[in-house]
Amino acid sequence: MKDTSKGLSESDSESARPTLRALFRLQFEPAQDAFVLLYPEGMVKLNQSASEIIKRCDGTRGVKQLVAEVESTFNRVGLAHPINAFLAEATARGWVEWIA
Amino acid sequence: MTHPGISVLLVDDHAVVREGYRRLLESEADLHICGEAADATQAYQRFCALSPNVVVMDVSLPGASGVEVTRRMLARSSAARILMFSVHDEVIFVRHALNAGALGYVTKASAPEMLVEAVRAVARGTRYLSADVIQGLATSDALREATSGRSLSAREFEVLRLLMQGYTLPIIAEKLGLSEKTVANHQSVIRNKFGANNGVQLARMADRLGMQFSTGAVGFT
Repeated sequence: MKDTSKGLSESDSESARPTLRALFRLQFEPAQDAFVLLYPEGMVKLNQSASEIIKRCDGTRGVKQLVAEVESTFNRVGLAHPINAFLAEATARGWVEWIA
Repeated sequence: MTHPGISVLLVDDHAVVREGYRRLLESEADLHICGEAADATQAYQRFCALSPNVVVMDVSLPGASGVEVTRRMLARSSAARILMFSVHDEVIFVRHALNAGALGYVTKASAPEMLVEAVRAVARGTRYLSADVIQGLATSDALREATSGRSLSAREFEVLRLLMQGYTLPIIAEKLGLSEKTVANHQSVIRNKFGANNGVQLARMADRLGMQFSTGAVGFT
C-alpha cells in the first residue's frame, strides 16, 4: 500500500499525527447550520466532510486511523486521497500542525 | 462573419486544469492557445511577450490574485481583453474583477461550451457573464449598496479575500509579499470599514454580504 501521508511535507512519517493549532477552535454554529473553525483572524465554515476530518485532528491519531474512521463514518472506501488533500490544504492555511 | 484565429493565454495554477481547457479550446478551429502561466508574475510576463487576443484568468493564483494581475495588464495595455474564469461566484469577487477591467466573468461550474462562447465574445470586445453570475448580480442590489459604502482598496480586498479563505496573518503576509504588521494594519482598516470589533464578527458580516467564507471543501460530501 502507498503511504497515505505522501504529499504532506510535515507528515512524512506514517506515525505523524495531525492536530489543530492552539488558536483554532472547532464549534457548531447554529446560524450557519454547520461546523465552523474559529481563529483570531476570523472564522471558516466547514462542510460535513471537512468537519469530520478536523474533529479528529487532536494529535491522537495518525493519518491511516483518521482515514479509516472517516471512511467508516461515511460508509465509503477510497477516501485517503481527498482526506490527504484536505489535510495538506489545512496545513498550508495554518490550521493544522503535525506531531511526529 | 468569421473571426481570424483568436490567440488565448491561459492562466491557472493547476497544470491539469490548464491541460483540460487547452484541449477544450483547441478543439475549436478559430481558437489557439499561445501560452500558459501558473502564477501572476508568469502571467504578466507572458502577456507582455505574447500579446494574446484574450487572457483566460483564474481569480485565485499563488501570490497576487488574478484581479490584481488583470489591473496590471490593463495598465500596460488598455486594449487587453480579459475573461475571468473562477470557482468563485460571489458577487463581490465578480464586482472587483469587473471593476479591475475584466471584460468577462464565467464560473467553473458553467458548461464547457460557455467558456468557448465567452472567449469569442470577449475577443470581440463584448461583455460576457455566465448565467449564474448574471443572476447573482441581478439579485444583489442590497448587497451592492452595502459594499459600495465600504470602498475597500484593492489591497484591502485581497487581504479580506484571504482572511475569508481561512488564512492566518503570517501566511497572508507571505502570500502577498508584505510584512505581517502591514497586513495587520489592513485587517484593522477593513474591520473599521465593516464596523466589526473582531475577526469572527467581520467573517459573519462579510458572509451576510455574499462574500461567503471558505467551506474547507473536500470532494466527497
